[in-house]
Amino acid sequence: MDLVSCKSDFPVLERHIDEQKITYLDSAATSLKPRSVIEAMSNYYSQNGVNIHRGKYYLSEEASDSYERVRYSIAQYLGAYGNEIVFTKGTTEALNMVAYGLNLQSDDIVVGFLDSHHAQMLPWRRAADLRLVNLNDEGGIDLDHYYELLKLKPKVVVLTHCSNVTGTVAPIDQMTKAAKEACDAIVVVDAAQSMPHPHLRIDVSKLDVDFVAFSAHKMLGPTGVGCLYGKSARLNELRPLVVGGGMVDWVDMEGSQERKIPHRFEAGTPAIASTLGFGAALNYLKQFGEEASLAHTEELTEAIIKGALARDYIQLLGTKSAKNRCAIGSLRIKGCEDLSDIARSLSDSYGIMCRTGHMCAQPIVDQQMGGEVLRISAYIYNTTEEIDRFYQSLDELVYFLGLV
Amino acid sequence: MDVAFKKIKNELDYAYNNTGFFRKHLDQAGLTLADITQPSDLLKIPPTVKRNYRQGFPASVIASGYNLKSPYVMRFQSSGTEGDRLVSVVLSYDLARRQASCISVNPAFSSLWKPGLKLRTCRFAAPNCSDVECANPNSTMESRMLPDGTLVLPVYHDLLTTPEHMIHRALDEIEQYDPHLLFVDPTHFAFLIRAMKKAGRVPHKKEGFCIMSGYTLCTQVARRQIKECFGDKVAFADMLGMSELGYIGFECPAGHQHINTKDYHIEFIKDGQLAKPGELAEMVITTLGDRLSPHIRYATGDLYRLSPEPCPCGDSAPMVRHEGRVKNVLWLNDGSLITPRELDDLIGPAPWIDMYQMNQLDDDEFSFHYMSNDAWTQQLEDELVEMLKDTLKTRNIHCSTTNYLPADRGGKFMSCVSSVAVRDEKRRLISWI
Repeated sequence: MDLVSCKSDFPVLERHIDEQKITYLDSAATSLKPRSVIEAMSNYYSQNGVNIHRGKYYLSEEASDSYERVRYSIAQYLGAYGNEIVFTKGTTEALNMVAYGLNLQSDDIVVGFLDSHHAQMLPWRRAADLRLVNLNDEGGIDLDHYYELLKLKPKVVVLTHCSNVTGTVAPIDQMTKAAKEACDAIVVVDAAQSMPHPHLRIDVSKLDVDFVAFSAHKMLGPTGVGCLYGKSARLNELRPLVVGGGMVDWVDMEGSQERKIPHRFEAGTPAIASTLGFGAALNYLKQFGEEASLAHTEELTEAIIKGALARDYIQLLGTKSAKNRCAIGSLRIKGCEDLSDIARSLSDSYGIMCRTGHMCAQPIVDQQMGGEVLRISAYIYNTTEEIDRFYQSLDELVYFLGLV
Repeated sequence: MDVAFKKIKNELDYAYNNTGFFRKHLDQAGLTLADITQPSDLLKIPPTVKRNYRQGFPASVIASGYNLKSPYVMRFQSSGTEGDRLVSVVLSYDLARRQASCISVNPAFSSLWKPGLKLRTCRFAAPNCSDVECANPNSTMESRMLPDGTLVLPVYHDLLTTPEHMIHRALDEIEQYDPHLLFVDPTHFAFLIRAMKKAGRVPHKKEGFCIMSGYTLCTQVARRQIKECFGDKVAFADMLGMSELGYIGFECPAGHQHINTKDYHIEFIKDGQLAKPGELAEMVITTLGDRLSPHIRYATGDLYRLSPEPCPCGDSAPMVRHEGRVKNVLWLNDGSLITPRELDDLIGPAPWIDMYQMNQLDDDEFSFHYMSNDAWTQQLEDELVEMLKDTLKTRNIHCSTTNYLPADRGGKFMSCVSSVAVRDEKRRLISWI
């Protein structure tokens, strides 16, 4: 399917607010949902609606089959095995599961990155001694600094495949090899921003990473469900964070016997409808080829960079090349201390939905931009015309707000 | 009235008079037993389907005078996947008789019927094919032993994720139990063989026992691996069976499948009529002499071709070719279809493929994933893909190698699956189910 013509698959884009159509530029926060995803969830509630696993009745087995098929489908997409796929609430929970499940000591060194999301920073800071890799002069990852920190023989290296603020796509292949060669570190990848793009799909049968975390809602799926891929040997060593029903084979007065992986990490009733929606999202995404995904992303990224560089009143975070970058632009409006007026007006006057704040990456945003940013992020249903329209609207706004 | 028809008539009379389901079924069709006076009258009886027996179990499909605790009653459960699960019962001596009738076409298996032999069988197949917890990594040999002397070997539901220690345990238990018969799902067993070789182990022995495959289509790729590993001195044959009835047919020494017509009345139905030899048709089966749970004109959802020729092996049991399940055929854009068996013929023993799965995703959209080995070359793949494109009459086949092919939740692995074949409008074209 053509990436632009997919727009009609997203019902929310047919909506008008105050008689204006919607221009959605906040996909790095969450993506919109195509009709097939909504129908998969709705169908579960209208035609089934029961709990999975251990039920012997027809509806329960039907739900369990559908649920497990999503697991298999994700495994195949990643080049993993079915038992290496753990369903979580999202990327944040997945990363916390690893950080606390590895039994790290407070003096164990973990190497992370300044452009990471808080979810790939705070759990590690709490569990161990986190050291951050800086940005280089171009706003990309300072690989020399990374190699320097690897000399400390970190126990874990926590990579961010694509930064949610700079849009930079990290060379995780090269970085993983370096981590393994230096000290055989456990490599944990936050793929929340990369997995939505078919051209950035991680094939774990070829890349020696130990854990990969991502969320359904950023890749056209529903909120409330995500995935942790873990090598089976690693998952077998990981201590479950949450215990309860569904993760044990046997419980008696003295103790309990945990289930095999991945089920021992899935205590309690999971987000069944969302997981089925996740499966539908993946099926939807799979119809777009890697080449088309790359070309579309580069076009959008080019438009974001070009628009920002053409305006003196804008400072753009991160590298200024569309290569190895996703369509994310974190912008500082020079002379504007409070961006909320701009974001509100973009929405109310132009129908443009974008985000302001620290984007859950405050260290880099504060260090590089001196405070909050206005972030636009585009995805498969966006066009370069929408990016251009955003900048034209911004020009008008900053003029009337007296910022230029 | 000829002897064969008399047996069928007796079965109808018994089912009508002793099972609530069949009595109602015939009544609803507006028929009485008196309407069935000659073989062609059987076509008047609407076929029965799995759903009827699922709904009717146990009260209206078990004959009056029997219950689950009656002597010799054995209970079987077929996989709960795809919504067609079923619990069924069969008398142990009926099962044994059907088994003996089927296997009689292959003298290489006669050793299993020595008088006084206490048969030791090891089973390696999908966990849902037995009622024991063979997928539990903590299960013991004792906990997996069935009353008939069958040891169910440990394996995970998702076959390829079975951990190394369970593979070793399965291999150790085969050595320890020293079975007369290894009854296996061929794809499962081929996996065990690959894992055994990878671990540097060798077969426990290469003669003095038999291997029988069942449960799913025996692909030529799996057959090749089993034969290569165990050699010619171990008898190997594929059985045709159903969990609700037991053995239906068996492979003869000439490699052809023969159907059991001693214990069943078999019809091959195409468009509601008896198919001509060679035509693709659904098997509809009627049990003979089943006092516990008679099945009358039971539409199996299995496609067959009845051979117009006698088998070179000389056995008089009808020679057939099982083409696969109705729900697994590939529908082409021009309305024709390719059966799983026909697809497998195309792929052949392929020494460069360990395991494969063809998946029809939508109309005119196919994916072919396979696990390759050291004998793989790009040219071999290219040639196969071209053949697949010609046969499926499309260019829209995505082909890729993989390390992982998931089984379904019950543990069965189907080499050919189709989202199109499960559509009602397609299914009805070739089946009653």
